[in-house]
Amino acid sequence: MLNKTFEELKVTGSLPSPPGVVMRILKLSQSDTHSAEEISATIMTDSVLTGRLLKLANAAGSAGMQPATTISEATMRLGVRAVMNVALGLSLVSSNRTGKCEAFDYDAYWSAALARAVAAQNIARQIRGMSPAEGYVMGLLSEIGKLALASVYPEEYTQVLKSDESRINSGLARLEQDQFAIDHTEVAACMIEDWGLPASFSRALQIFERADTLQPTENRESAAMARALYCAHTMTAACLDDRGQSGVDPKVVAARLESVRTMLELEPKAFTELCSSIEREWTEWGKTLDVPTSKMLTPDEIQIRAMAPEIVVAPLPVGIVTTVEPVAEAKKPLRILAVDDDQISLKLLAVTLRKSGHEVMTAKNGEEALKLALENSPQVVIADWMMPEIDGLELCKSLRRIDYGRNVFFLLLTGQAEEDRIVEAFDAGVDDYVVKPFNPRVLLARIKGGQRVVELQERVASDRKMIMRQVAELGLMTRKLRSAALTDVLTELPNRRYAMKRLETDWDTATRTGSPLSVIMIDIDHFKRVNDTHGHDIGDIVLKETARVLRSTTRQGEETSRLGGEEFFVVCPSSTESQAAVCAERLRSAVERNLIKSGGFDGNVTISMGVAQRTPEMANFDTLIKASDEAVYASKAAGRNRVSISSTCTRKAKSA
Amino acid sequence: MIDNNDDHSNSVIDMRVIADLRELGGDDEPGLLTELIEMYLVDAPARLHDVEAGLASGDIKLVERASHTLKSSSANIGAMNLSELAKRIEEFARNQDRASITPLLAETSRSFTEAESALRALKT
Repeated sequence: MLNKTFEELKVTGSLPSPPGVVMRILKLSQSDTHSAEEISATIMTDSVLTGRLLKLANAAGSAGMQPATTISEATMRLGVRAVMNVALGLSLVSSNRTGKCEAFDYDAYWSAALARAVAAQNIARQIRGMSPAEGYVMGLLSEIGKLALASVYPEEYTQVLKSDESRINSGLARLEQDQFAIDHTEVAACMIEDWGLPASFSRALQIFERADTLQPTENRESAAMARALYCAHTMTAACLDDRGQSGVDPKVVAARLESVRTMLELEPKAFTELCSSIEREWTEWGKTLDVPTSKMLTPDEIQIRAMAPEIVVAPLPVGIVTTVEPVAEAKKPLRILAVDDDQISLKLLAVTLRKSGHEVMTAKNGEEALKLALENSPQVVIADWMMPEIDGLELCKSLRRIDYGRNVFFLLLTGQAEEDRIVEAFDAGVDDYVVKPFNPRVLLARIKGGQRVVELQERVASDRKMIMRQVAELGLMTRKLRSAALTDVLTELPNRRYAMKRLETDWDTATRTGSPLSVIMIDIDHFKRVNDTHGHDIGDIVLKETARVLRSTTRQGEETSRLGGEEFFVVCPSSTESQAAVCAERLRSAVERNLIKSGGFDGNVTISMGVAQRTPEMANFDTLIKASDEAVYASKAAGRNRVSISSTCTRKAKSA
Repeated sequence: MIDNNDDHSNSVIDMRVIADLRELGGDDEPGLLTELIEMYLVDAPARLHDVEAGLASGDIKLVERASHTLKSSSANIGAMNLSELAKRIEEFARNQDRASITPLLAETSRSFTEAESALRALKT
């Protein structure tokens, strides 16, 4: 179900995606025959990425090591896997810096993501079980789901962000679930799995928010990552909360930070040092990636704020909710990238184009042009053929290989000498050419032709996008309907249909694996009397209240549903009847202790319960339900408000 | 026989090109011509140097690239004579014909000196 929802997001084509170079690296990594050299060579076609990777390789290395100066060295030092993961993360930062979601502050998002990345990287050095480079990537991508939802549903996500008053991730996740039937953590987990990152990464994402109470059975790698992520999130949230934006009580902030220190088993002094090195590296990376950074609070400052609660901090809009003017769509002038290694030609090009009203960027060589093209997505590229290193044709080929570059209008400048080789240029994907030295009027006429093509293509693309959106919205609607069909309207618990589907699945698993499976049937005692005395409205409130208590008392994996009337049902996979009976007793006691006061009703209700476990003799799950049903009757007969176990009452029945 | 008055390509600097550049700068960018000339006077000697260095070290690719750029930037600024010489050097370089280039160097250098003084006189 999860993956299905994600597939629907994916089909919109609006999910943040890594640029061509990185996609090639990911593809390479999935083939069995890839070599470290091939990967290094692919990375080196992107000079910006190369620089950033080297920086990371050197930051991850231990002190006293010679700095890595080539990608091959960095690959050896970090490992092929880590290099690819980092390439992925870094490329996303540079290609998703703006977007259409009005309430989503893209700069603030990347700034916080970068802080978490650096924090997780530093924390990974403290705990065993993960590498600093992995920490960096995980920190960077842990909230990519928010960016994804903002990209796919810019308007809807603006509404969600604006209505989110909780300002905490779990509150936001609930709103996302209501709106999209998937939340940002699930989206992030699917995305990083989709990109071929290890499964332990996505697992860590799903569990990190409860990393302080992880089961010992949890996969060690995921557990280590989850802990690092938990620490990174908590630390950066605390240290960046300089104006109390989060609205969280400073005492709580300080306590959380302290819990991180304990988890990392660090002395206060060492912890303060860790924080300051995070701040330092964050600032440095901010400069490298051109992401804004600010001053971080030190643990001491956070403690002081916690001790002085009388300072009232005016609540400010939280990190990502700021109002940004919607991007105005420029119509007529084109965004043109001009590329020539001859400065004079370049200047003439720029002046000519600007004079006719276009927006012009210039690059002195192919490499610089690729970088600018990826960052600014020009609609037209005008490039000289003859350039050292990456020439005009190679630039064109590189652009045609990536998603954005397929639609760009590519105009090649050629000398007379190259004109007879022009077929080669068209083969490379060039749209048109102009002979140098160019006549401004001819150049502008060619550009005008290009403009028609660009506008046509943009119209097609926007139509296609609209269709994709409609498909996505349809999918969303179907999903909401589907979920409505499986939910009980009154109590919002899953309904009978869902319960039976779920039991069928668990039954099959139990049959296949031989693991135990138990169920609990629940019936509210004397419910008819409540209805008759206080009316159906009060009856409904009692049902809702009971459902609420049941839901909050059952644990993860135990699925509670309402079968109908006053009947509820809990499936306990991998539980024996005695384990399920313990759970049942917990529920019974919770319902009994819960006081309901509404209208004329003031008191509690009790429940009678029947527990049954699957046995190999049972023909199907109906037999199991029937057994639990019979146990409920035994409870009723024995005086209600109790738990009966099916196997013991049948024995009693037989011996009686 | 070509009328000498109209044959601007034989003069050191083609004044039609200069007029075009002045017009391009117009009122918005009156300094454009001066800026281009200054750019050229820095760039061209560097390219000439690259041609010579490439010949000396046997880097014929460098010769081809440098002469290609010199050809186009000279044409852009109106130094047609120099552009033509650069074009010939480029063609020889493409054909790996180093022997034919060397005799052209002195003439190229002289042509640049002429262009340089003519361009300096044009700067406003």
